[in-house]
Amino acid sequence: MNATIRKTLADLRRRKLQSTIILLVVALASFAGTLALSLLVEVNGPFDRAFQQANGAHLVMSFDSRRVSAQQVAATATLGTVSEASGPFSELGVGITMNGGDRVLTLQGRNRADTAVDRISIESGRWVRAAGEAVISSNLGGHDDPIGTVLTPDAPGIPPLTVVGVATAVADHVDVWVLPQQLPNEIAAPVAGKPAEAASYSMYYRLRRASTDAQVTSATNAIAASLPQGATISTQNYLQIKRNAAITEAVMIPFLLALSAFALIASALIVANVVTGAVIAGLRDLGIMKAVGFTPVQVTSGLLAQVLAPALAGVLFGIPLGVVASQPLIEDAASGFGLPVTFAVAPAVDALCLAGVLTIVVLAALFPALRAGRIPAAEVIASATSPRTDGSARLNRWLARLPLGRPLTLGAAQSFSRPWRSMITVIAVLIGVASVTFVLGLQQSLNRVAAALTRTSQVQVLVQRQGSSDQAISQLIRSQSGTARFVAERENDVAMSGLGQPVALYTYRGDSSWLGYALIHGRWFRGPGEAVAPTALMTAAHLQVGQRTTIALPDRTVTIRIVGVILDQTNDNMLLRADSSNLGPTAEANQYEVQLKPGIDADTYARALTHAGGPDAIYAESPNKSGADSAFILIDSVLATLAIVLLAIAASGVFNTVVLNTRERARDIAILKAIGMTPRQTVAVVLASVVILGAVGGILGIPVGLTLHHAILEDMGQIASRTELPASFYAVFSPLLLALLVLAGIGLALLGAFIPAQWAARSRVTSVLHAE
Amino acid sequence: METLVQLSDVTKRYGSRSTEPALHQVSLRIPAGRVTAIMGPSGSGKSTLLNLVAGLDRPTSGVVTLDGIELSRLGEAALARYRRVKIGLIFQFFNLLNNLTALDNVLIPAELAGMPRRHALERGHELLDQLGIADQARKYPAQLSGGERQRVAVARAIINRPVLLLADEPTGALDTHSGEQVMDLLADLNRGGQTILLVTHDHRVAQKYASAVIRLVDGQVTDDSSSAIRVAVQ
Repeated sequence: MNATIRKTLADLRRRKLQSTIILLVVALASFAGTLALSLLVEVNGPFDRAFQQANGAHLVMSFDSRRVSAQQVAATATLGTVSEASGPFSELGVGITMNGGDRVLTLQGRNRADTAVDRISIESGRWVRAAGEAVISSNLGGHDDPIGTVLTPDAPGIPPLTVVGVATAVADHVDVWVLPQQLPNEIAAPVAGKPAEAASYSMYYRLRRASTDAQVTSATNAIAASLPQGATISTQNYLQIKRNAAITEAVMIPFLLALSAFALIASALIVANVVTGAVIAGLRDLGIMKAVGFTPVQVTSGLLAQVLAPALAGVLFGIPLGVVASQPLIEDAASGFGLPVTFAVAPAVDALCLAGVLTIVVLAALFPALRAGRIPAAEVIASATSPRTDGSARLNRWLARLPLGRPLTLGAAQSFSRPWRSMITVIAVLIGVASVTFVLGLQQSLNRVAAALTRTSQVQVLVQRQGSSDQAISQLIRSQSGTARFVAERENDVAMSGLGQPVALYTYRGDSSWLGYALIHGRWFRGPGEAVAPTALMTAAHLQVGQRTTIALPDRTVTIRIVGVILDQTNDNMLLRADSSNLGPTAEANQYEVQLKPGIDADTYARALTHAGGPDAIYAESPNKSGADSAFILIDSVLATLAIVLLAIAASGVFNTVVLNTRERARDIAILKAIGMTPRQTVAVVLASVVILGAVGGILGIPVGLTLHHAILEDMGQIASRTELPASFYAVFSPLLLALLVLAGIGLALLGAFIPAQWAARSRVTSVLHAE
Repeated sequence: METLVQLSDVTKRYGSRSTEPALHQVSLRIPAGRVTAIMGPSGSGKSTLLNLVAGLDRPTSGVVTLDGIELSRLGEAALARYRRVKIGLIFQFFNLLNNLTALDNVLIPAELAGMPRRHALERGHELLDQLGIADQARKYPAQLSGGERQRVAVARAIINRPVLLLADEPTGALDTHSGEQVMDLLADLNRGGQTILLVTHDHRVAQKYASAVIRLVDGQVTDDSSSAIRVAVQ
């Protein structure tokens, strides 16, 4: 073993604490980096695999069977933009009794699962072979083993269906598959006097060019244009399905990357600090090494090796931890496609993390190590032994005049005694406070987004009209003692000028301004001729608040003015909300949103209302928000985990600085203790040395956190649903909270300094002064 | 003569029981108002004894008493207050705080004791004047000569008017002339009633300034000229 290796190993043994700090911060940074990059790379993996296996459709279009024939729809497969197609498959929305409950499900007639496009993956059981059989979508859920269950359609002409299989489709808008001959062309409406509900044709296309939304939209328009006007009912773009499939994970990527960058910056600075500290603390050793013949290269490489060894251990610990932590998120994305949940490892990402983190560590350590290699031996020996007056002297004189306890002023004066180290401490605190500011802000903003999307404060019960009249149901709801207020609602698909795809038009009878849709711009509509819409629709239709657009209703064309932009994810953000008078006086509502009086239980109310309405008349439910809730909970928990990681790194940075400072100041502390400084006063000196740095870091960290919060929240809105967010969702920081965040900077600094302060208080005066 | 410091059967061992003790069953008394010198070769236990009296270290066994205070009964905080109020420490290498001016170094024990800064300043200036370094008050230790640094250390040691001044080789890092000046200062203080316990290996210093000499060899008292105060080793 050569002398450099022996010396390096000896130094590693001697500097266990600093090696541990490097190991810890590098492990935490690697953990955060791997988690972010794994998610970035793997989040779309399940969809891509499922899409490839299924030869998934780039575009699914549904057509009105009353306006277009199956042959006309089939002919669209030969259009130039289409490379391959399956269909047309007829579809019907049918009320079905299943497991004792009533639901409206989409039934599709399909002979085989392995069609050219959109192959259906059978998870259990088999495909339908005969009349009276059905395969259900795995998304229906709610049953341990649905095979053999009988579905009872509430539609003449469709017999009871026995479930023979459970399947998953990438384009998952179908609930039940049956043989085509099982589906009639139309079924009678449940309400007497209403028109019969006609079947639609669904067509699954693979396109020649489908890598962007614009390309898919262009193909959509070309297909729609080849058919009679008004034939298109709905469209489904695979890019949007892909975005929606892992939307929770996708919205996390910006903040995961931002926080990982924070973690890496903090780690690099801490490593540089450790090496600088080691150089300063070991100046005498370095001088002796040079005096006995170590070359500058040997000195530099020895120092680098001292850093690389714990850093390598940290990376080897942090990366697997990051891979493991990313699994639940990737599994969450995979489960939507019924794919087997496998342990997803991205070796390239892990190798990148390993190489990246170690490179950053080496770069951070390189400068002080090179500097140590270049210092002349005589200079380092002299500077290691001669007394120096450092930068804190002047501050000390000034602070001594303040009417504060002397331990506090003595400690505070040390704040900037080593400017480089002080700067690193400030940055460590800054990163910690910026992370907390960002995470707290994002959590509060997301809570507001969740509240605006779920609207549970405003609407507690949703009522679907089934076999009853609008008037009867309105009267029934009004007569319930628990009803505070309600609004009748109707949904129509309409064509809108400038858009190739249909838009959902939601119209309300009565005052609907209390419904709780968050306004981004403008105001809620006040009467006929006005509407509000989400950002995505405004962008797609090139509209701005105050502008007019034309919508085609079944019987006429109406011009409406957009008076507000709302946060709304319904119908893939392609919708309008307006007053029912736009539809004319005969338009009947098919849904009711009910706000209950305080203290009324929503489930009890819904059950009572359903019962009062009579069988098949209405269906009332307390809206199930668990999907949205679980997504927000997942994001919140990831945010909290990363905030803790960042705080741990920041506290480690402060800890490291204070350890270095107290070691360098061991003589001063021993002298002070010798002349009568108590342990408590010693703790006060050490803690006071970081208070100013903590405050500065806190003050600087807040704007960084606020900027990050604003930018990331904006990004998340775009990724989640191409939407802007109301200004009030950004303004979540009260003056009190900001003041607390400055205090958090001080608290973080004190937390990092607490243990070294205790060590300083317990240090033996005699051993330090004896060593002198 | 009144006894200020008493050590009864004091043993100090560093490390395990098998190691040789630094002090072995030492019993002695230091009278008040005198300069007592502790002499002995390197490793004889002089500094250990000083540290035990200063409350910087605790004996493995035995009792150390100063001014009626049994040090073993004091916790760390109380020991610190004891050092602050009862003891003044002078070191061979001065042990001044390099980032504080001479005056601020002197003021530190008074400020730690809670003395108002105005009063502390008055007392600090008075001491620096008394020790002949008033013009050096604003200078930092690095800007002072060795003799001046030790005078600052003396001023710091006596600012709280301690009952005992402990001086550990106070002239060890000084040239002969500066060393004599510092010792003359200590002698002046003694004439004013200050009890001084002086650790030195310089016979001339001990002979000239000490009224009693305790000799230590291998952790044991071999000779005590302090008016037969030595207590028989059991």
